[in-house]
Amino acid sequence: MRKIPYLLVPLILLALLSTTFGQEDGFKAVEKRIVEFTLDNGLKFLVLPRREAPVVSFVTYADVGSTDDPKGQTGIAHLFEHMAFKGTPTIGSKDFKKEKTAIQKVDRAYAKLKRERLKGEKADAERLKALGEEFEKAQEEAAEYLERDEYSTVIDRAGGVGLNAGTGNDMTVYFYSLPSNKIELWFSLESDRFLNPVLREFYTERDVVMEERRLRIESQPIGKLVEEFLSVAYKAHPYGVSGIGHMSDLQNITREQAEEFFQVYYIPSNLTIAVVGDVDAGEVERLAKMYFERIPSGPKRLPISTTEPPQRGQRRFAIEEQSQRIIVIGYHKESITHKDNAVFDAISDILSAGRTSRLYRSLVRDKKLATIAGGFSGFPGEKYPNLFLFFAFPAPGHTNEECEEAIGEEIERLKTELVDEGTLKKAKTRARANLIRQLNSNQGMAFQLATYEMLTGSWRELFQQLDKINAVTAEDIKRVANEYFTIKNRTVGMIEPASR
Amino acid sequence: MKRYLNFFLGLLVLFGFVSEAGAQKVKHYKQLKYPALREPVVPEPARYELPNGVVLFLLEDHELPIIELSAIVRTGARWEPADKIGLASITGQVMRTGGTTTRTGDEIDDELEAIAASVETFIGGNSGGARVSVMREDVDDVLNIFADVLMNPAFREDKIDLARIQQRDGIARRNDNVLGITSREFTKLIYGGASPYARHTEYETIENITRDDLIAFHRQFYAPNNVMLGIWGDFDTDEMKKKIELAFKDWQRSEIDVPPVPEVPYKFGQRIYFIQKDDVNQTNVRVGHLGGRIDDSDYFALDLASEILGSGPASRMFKNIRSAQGLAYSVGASWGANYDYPGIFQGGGQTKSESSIRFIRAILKEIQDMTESEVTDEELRVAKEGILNSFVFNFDTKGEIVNRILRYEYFGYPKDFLQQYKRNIEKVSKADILRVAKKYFKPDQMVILAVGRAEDFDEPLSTLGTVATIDITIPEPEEVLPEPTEETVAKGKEILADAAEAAGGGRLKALKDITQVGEMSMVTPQGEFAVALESVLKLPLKFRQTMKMPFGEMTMVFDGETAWMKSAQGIQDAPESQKKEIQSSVAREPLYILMNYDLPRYTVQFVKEETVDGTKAHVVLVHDSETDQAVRLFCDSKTNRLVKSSYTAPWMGTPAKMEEFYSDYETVNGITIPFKTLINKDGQKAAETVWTEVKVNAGVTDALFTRE
Repeated sequence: MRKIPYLLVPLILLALLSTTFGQEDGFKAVEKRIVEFTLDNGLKFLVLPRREAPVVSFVTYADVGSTDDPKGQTGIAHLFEHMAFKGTPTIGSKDFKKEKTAIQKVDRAYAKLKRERLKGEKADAERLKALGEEFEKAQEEAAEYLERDEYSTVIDRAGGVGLNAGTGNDMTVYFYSLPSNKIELWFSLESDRFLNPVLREFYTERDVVMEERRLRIESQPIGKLVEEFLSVAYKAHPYGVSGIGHMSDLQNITREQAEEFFQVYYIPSNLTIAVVGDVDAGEVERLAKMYFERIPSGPKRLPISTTEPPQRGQRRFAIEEQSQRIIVIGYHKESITHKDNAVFDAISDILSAGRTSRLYRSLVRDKKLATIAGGFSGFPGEKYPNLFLFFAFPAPGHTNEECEEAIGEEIERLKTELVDEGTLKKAKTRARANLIRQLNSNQGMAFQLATYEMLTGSWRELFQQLDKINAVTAEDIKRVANEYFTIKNRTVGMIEPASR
Repeated sequence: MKRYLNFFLGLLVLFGFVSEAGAQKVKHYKQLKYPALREPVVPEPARYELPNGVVLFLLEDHELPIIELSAIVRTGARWEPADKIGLASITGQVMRTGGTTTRTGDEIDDELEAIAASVETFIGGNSGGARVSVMREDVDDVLNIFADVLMNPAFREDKIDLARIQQRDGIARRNDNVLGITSREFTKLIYGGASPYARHTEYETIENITRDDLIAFHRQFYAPNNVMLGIWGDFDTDEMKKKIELAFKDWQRSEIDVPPVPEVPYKFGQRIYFIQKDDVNQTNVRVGHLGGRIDDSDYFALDLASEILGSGPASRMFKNIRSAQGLAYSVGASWGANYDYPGIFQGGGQTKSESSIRFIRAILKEIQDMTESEVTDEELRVAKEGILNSFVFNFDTKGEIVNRILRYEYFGYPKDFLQQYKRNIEKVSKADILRVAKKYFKPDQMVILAVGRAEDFDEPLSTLGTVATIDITIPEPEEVLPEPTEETVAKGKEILADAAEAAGGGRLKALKDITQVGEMSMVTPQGEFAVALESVLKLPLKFRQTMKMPFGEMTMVFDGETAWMKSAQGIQDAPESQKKEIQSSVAREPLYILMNYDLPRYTVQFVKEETVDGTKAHVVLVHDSETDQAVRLFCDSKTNRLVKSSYTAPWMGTPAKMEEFYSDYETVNGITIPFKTLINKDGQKAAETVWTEVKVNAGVTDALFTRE
């Protein structure tokens, strides 16, 4: 019985070979191969069969990100992402019944400790010590029932590669690839993970996340600059709040809060799963129904209602670091679904793609003010109105201000001169080539499909963005530059070397 | 309720109550049975050797309309001269950016980017190479450019300059990132700072590199018989072979003398090092010693051992140090093995400053444990299955297959080495792992490096043993002074004689004292602010400077022998370094030089003509042997007045390139002096002095220079 798919392989390969990319129908052919279906509980699947090699990549895209962190619990979306590797009742435990009781004991011990600690200077030192010990002991007890890291070990052992997850401002993604004979393993593990995750070893993992914060932000000049920059650029929208979380929030988040966060946001209609590789779409659908329809549907949360008010004037700051200079300049713009988004993509290409880009030629090649300079759209996310971000690393002996001035000249050029036809055509040619190159990676395609589905409402946008870029005119670029790149709409942040 | 279904099911599974669940039932992973994996079709690239020696691997892949190419050239930074570190890297870069004999790099950029293609060249540690990516329809043009770049690079000077700026920037920024510091310094500790496998660029090694060096380095290694190409994508093999032959037909075979692979001497022993980094709250830790080579017979067992020890979420380090103790976000270890020289066995990660020593101990313990008892059956199974089950990912793209075969051939490995690896991994036993761990892991002879804030550590690093501290201050380039010749010395003196004449001639020689009163504005990160300044110079050599600031007055005095400072807090001796700097500043004072350049302490030579703010100037280099410093004086070729001087001097603790620009000349008592001086530090304005009152030979008494 198992032989049937084998016979199908050459046929599918033949079908693949006949796709031509000489014309745009190459993309159409790919589009046609993509199968989408939605389970009764609202969970959506996108499947792109690609049978070149017997491997398959999976991306679970959760429409929840650090933007959704409740006040006082910054970093919780990311912390939950870590917890999603800790297993389920049947994975990661020697005796879940006892473990569950032990975990509840940890929760209670931590609640008491936290309450006392939050008294600050009024806290009773003796009591703090005793509660600390009680908490430690409870954790040790819970650890006795652990089958530590079983969840990831199973994947590793099965030949899974690239196992990881990431939390952004807009989303949380979970991904890995497997040999294609093991797709059912993914269904079993992934559905269980979002059906009934057990947030075991929570407080130790919270320590790990604090180490991650120290690593990425507190011990990195660029990390500090970016965190500071967002907090200056945004005064209302949560894009301005540190995604990895403030240290004091991390120090106080509880397991129950993370559990609650999961219950609210990890409902099936908030998930999109993309499967790309050596699979049969029908088989994927059958398994999806079987495994994922177990997850009960829930009320879809409302989107964030806070919108960033228009900026009243330029914002500037400098931080002193033991580092060479870096400058970033951001301008507020609309979200990915706005009609001007493709114009910004074209601007980004013109300004910073390759050695013919305007910022490279001006700042790096000709004026020799910087060693790297660029500008890109969609920072720190794309779901909500975001920033177009310029940046430069000044060359030795040159300043942030010199780079700022040179970037300003290029912005002025966009505002006053129409971009020539060759430059615009180049941006369009490259957009098409980039899309073709992306098709070569299962993991990359899975990620793109899920992202477009969630951010724009349809994975087809991934292909339609080409049409949108193709429609961008020189006048559009001039208009957009004049409309958005204004002094009032600007935030400038820089690192200045600390004098010591 | 549904929520608990899985839970019960799981329990049933654990207790073995369910035999085999039906085909349509949700299964726990332990119940899953997998169909056999479809054997991946592993195509073998076609190998050709062209008449001029180019080795070519071709593999068709018609899924997408793209053609990709990788080249390997037998060269590498390990063969660049020790005083020109950076040569290989710059050669690899400028080969492409500097264009060819018939087109500039900029023209190539324009041509390639218009069609979304790329051709990039580079030279790394033990090989050189290139990558090309192009849409099928543009392949002919792009192959021609690629061949031209390999065969006829022009190494234009403007792009060498650009590469030098990038190199200098890399040096200046190399201590900005603590992870970078840790890797770089640890590698030097293992191989030795001067080893071709660890050494790195310095301002001086970059300065030493000339265009001729690039041309010579290219000539030494780039010939068709020293190049291998791998191409995969949407083409026909026979046609592609012809295209390559055509593109490289004019490239003549030549004798390439590839130097031997540098040896790696190593002496085992425990050594502990520390680097202070004030601006972090985490300690970066690296421990390890020399590793081995991929062709060692024990490599397979060591690879599995390091998998169990410290690679990935199933490893001991991840489980015990990250998951169980929460000590680190990233922690791990690996048996470092390279193709043709020994790698580094290393473990490490980062932890908060307050758990530094605990973390180091935890890492060392895991290594120690590996040498003391056998791993469990389960550990070995997990590690082996992880490698074997993911084996298919070695063949999931054509690019991987082609690049691997290039690499194996380049390093002289059998082309089925990966299959051999698989067979050997399958054979490794628990006893093998213990045997190799005992033989190769030396937990008591580790090099340990910690980078962080010592004052926050849980225990002093010295509790682990004797600690040596590493200074990572970036050495400033030594100024290379041109050799003086009779001619340049004579011309230099002539120019200074004219300048001395312009400054007052006989009156200058008779100068006894000079008092200047005015204002200095200083540029600080908080903005510019001004202080009142009074400066008195009495000859032979006494010096006094008073600054009046909003919060009080500060006076600095040098009486010819000692120096001190006077402020509201009283009198304090100036530290030796400051005294030296005062002496240096007097010695490089242009007026002082113009009076004394004939003394044996000064060497004077003409260097060149240069334009300063539109004024043509002679540049005279003056070296003072007493203070061992060099200053360049720029004399207006028309008026003979000084327009500028430049020198290196400490500025807030670090050496800086200083420039002084002189203007607003006025004559006081026969002496012509600038009333305005602009001071630049590293090309940026740092201060400006404007004198409002200048007195010459006013009869300054010694009382001004005595301690009260």
